[in-house]
Amino acid sequence: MSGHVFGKFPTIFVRLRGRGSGVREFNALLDPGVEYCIIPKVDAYSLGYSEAANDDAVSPANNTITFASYDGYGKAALIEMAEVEIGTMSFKNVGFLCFDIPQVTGFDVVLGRDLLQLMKLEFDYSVSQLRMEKI
Amino acid sequence: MSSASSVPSAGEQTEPADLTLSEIRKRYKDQWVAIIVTGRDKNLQPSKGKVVAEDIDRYMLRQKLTKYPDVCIFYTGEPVYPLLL
Repeated sequence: MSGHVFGKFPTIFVRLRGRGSGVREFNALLDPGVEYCIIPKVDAYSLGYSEAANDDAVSPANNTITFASYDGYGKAALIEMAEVEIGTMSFKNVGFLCFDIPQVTGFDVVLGRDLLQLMKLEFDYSVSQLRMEKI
Repeated sequence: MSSASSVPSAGEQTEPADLTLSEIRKRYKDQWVAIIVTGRDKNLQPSKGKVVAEDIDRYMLRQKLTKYPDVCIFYTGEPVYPLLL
């Protein structure tokens, strides 16, 4: 993928296929400073990951992990998204944290290091263009 | 009901118009929208679509999407304040 033009922030539309039959496509923020990709719990649930809806602090889902953020420590279910499509590129079994980023940010999906390490990325902020290549 | 009074709400029975993404961002400003993608650019990024739901709250939007197996979701505005993630 070359010559992809982004706005104020580096974003790209990404198609997600989960355990179920549905597909969800999001305008995702590319953030190399985040360990995992992030998806809202409601969307993880709709893609077939029912454990994303488990908010029980006493009996959390088996795949719950602790993470650190600017807001301190938090917990979220870590799922493996069956398939992630970006343009013609496709990636299988990508780690996604089921976590609700505040909607005032305008983003609900973030692509983090777990996915970005599988590609060569070139940002040209001077012209707001992005080049991605699967390695 | 859409905030743009001259624009039919995506929840109404009229067939949604086929719009470019820039038209969608203009008509449904500062809202979460869900579109059925009808056109893509050379990078297979959505370039056109039909708005099937819109809301200022992304959780309310999700409740309108249960009948759509393949839908594209995005926010049409920019964060009001500087972003710190």
